[in-house]
Amino acid sequence: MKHPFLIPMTLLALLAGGCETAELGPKPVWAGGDAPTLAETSLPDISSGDSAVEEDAAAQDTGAEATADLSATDTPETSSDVGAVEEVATGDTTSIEDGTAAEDVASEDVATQDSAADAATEDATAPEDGTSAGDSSAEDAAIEDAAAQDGAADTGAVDIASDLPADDLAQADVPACDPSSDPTCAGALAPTWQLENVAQGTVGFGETYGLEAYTGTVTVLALLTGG
Amino acid sequence: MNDIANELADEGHDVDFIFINGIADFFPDLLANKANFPIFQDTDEEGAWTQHGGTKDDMIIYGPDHTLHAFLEFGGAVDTNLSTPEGIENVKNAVLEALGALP
Repeated sequence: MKHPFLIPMTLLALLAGGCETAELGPKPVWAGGDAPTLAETSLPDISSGDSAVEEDAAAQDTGAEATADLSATDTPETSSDVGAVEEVATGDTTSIEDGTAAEDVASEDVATQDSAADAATEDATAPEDGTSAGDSSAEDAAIEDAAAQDGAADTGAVDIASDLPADDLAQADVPACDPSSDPTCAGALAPTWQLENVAQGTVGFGETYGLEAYTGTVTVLALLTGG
Repeated sequence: MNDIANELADEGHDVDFIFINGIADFFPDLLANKANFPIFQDTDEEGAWTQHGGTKDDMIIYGPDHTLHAFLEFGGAVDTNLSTPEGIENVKNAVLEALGALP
C-alpha cells in the first residue's frame, strides 16, 4: 500500500469501528439505537449550572473556607458537599467529569486534611505562641528588672553627682570635722586643764581643778577677760 | 550671763557656768564683778584657751558627758552678743538644746 493512502484509510477504519482513544475512554454505544435524552435518565441536569465542576469548585471553596475557619460546623457541610460531589461523580456522566470529581474529592480530602493539619499547626503553635509570649514577658520582665537595676545604679550615681547643690558639693570638698583632733567639733572630749579658781565667794575658790568637777551636768564655759 | 543662769535655774535646769580668764589678764577681780561664777585663771603652762581651740568671748557648751555640744564662736554664725536680746536668746536656746529641753 502506498503511503499517501495510508492515513485516509486509517481514519476511515476508525470512523467505521467507533471512535476509541486511550484518553477519552470507550465511547458509549447504545444498544437500542439512539442515545436516550436527559429527561429519560436519572442524571441531574448539568446544563443548569449545577455541574460537577462547579460543585467541585464550591467544594474547594468550602474546603478553603473550612481551612480558613477551622470550625467544627464547617466540616460537616464540607462533608455533605463532598457527598453531593461524589454522587455526581458516580453518576453516568462523562469520564472527564468523573475524573474531575474524583480529583475534587481527593482535593477536598486534602483540603480537609490541610484544615486539620492547619488546625493542628495552630494548636501546636498556640502553646508555642503562649510560650513565646511567656518567654517574651519573662524576657521583658528581666529586661525591666535589669533596667530597674541600671536605673537604681544610675540613680545612685545621680544622687552623688547631681542631686547635691553646688554649695553642698563645695562643703563636701571640706574635710569632715574630726572631734578627735579638733576641740571645736561637736563630740570632742573636754580638755583636761587644771587651773585655779580665783573667784572669791564661789565654791572651790583658791583650789585648782578642772572640768571633771562638772561631769554630769551641762557646762557653759566662756573665754573672757576682765580688763 | 547672770540673767541666763538665773532664768535657767528658775526653770529648774541644773547648769554650771564657768569663766576662763585669759593669760594676759591679770585682773580677774574685774571679771568676777560681772558674775558669781567660778573663774579659772589660764596660764602659759596649761594654755586652756588653746586646749579649747578658742579665743576671747567664745562660748563653749558641754553636755553632761562632757563632750562638746556646741562651740559658739564670737562673731560667728550664731549671734552671742549678750548685750542684745537676740544674743541672750541664742545662748539660752543653745543651753536648752544641750539639756534636751529646747521647746
